[in-house]
Amino acid sequence: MSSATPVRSLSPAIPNEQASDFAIGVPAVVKIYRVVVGFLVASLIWKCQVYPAVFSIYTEFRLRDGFFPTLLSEPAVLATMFAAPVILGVLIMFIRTTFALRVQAITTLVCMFGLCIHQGSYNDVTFLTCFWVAAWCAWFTIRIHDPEDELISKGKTLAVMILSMIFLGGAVGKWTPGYWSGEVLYEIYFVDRDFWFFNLLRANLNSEMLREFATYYSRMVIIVETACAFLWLLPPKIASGIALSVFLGIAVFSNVYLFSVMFCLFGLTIVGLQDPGKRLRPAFSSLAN
Amino acid sequence: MLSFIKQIWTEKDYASGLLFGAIAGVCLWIIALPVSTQVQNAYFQRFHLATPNFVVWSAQQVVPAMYNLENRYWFDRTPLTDQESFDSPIRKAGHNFDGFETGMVNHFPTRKFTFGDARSVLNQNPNGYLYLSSKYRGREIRSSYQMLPASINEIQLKRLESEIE
Repeated sequence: MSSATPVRSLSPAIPNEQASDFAIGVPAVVKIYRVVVGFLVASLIWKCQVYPAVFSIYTEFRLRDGFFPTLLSEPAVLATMFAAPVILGVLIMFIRTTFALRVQAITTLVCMFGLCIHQGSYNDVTFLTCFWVAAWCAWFTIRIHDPEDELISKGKTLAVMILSMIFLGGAVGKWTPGYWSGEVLYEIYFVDRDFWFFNLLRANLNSEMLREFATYYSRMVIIVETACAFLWLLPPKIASGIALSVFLGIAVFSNVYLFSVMFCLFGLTIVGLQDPGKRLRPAFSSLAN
Repeated sequence: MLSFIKQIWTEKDYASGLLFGAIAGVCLWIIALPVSTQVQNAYFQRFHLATPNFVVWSAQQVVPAMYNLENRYWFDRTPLTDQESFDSPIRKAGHNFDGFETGMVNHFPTRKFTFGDARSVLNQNPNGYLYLSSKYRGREIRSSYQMLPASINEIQLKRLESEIE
């Protein structure tokens, strides 16, 4: 082997904690990790359109339901579980010791799970998708000392599996007559949802045509989601490209608030688009530096 | 996929195995939904906050369920006793809980009274009855709740019944 030949594929992604990281530059895996965390934080920040106002309502008006434990009805607990991952996510853009990354990942995972079971946020799917991205992050930081190519390869596989699972969950629950007939989405979106796409349809279609359009729209959603549940069968790059396109389509043609659900998943699609052995694409490397 | 599984097995990569196992387990649960009445019942109870054990409910909260089931709510200040009200497809615009209204919900129909500004609106007149229905492939869960004032700025939610058909 030539002495000039790099052996990057055999070297650990991050050498165990040692002297100045600045001397060796930011490892590619840390860059990738920061991009994923950046998109997860973006999901939470997108939610800031809703939650600050909601938090003040929860503080002023209480609801006793007999189902949620007292701690998981407290607005302060919700606020803490919301804020901590955002703060830690920003901090790891500047700190990159393995310990810091693991603390950030595991704290985010716990907080997202907490938001999935809190009285004030359990219904918000943003925290469910963020939970799974955080699970990927926790896994990534645990394995971060693996050889870089191996880590990225496994990361891509797991990322695509998570994306497929998300689509599967959305699809199977719609295999029911109300969605196939379009009744559900017609009532939720087509009747009076104030969004450019549905406003355009209402302005240009009569009620009968609108109802029929809703049927085909709903069936298309079911078919696309069901197909995307099998993304794990495709090469990660193709699977990720498809997932990214579908997520953008859902948000643009249904509801821009859904970007909070999607942003964190964009991070996983970027992982899936990576080529082991190559650096993070230039367009995103600035996010990680 | 097979090479991935083989790799994590031979390397004894427990972290990857754990994440993979969690994803696979959730997928199996989801796939069972159309064919298993037990899983359907679990989904129904999850969506109506009627799971007997909170820990069991919590474990299901990581299962993706966006826009799942056919969820509808009805609200009125007095109990709804006539079938005609339940059969009415009419939706009341505004959703201000100031009279009879009904509509469909994407998921977790209980969010009509737990999420967002619902409690501030309901607090203006914290007396009412909320009815929920979630359907899936010919089966249905129906739940009813009564809202009562508990103290200043506090609403008590009393579950009247939850029944799976």
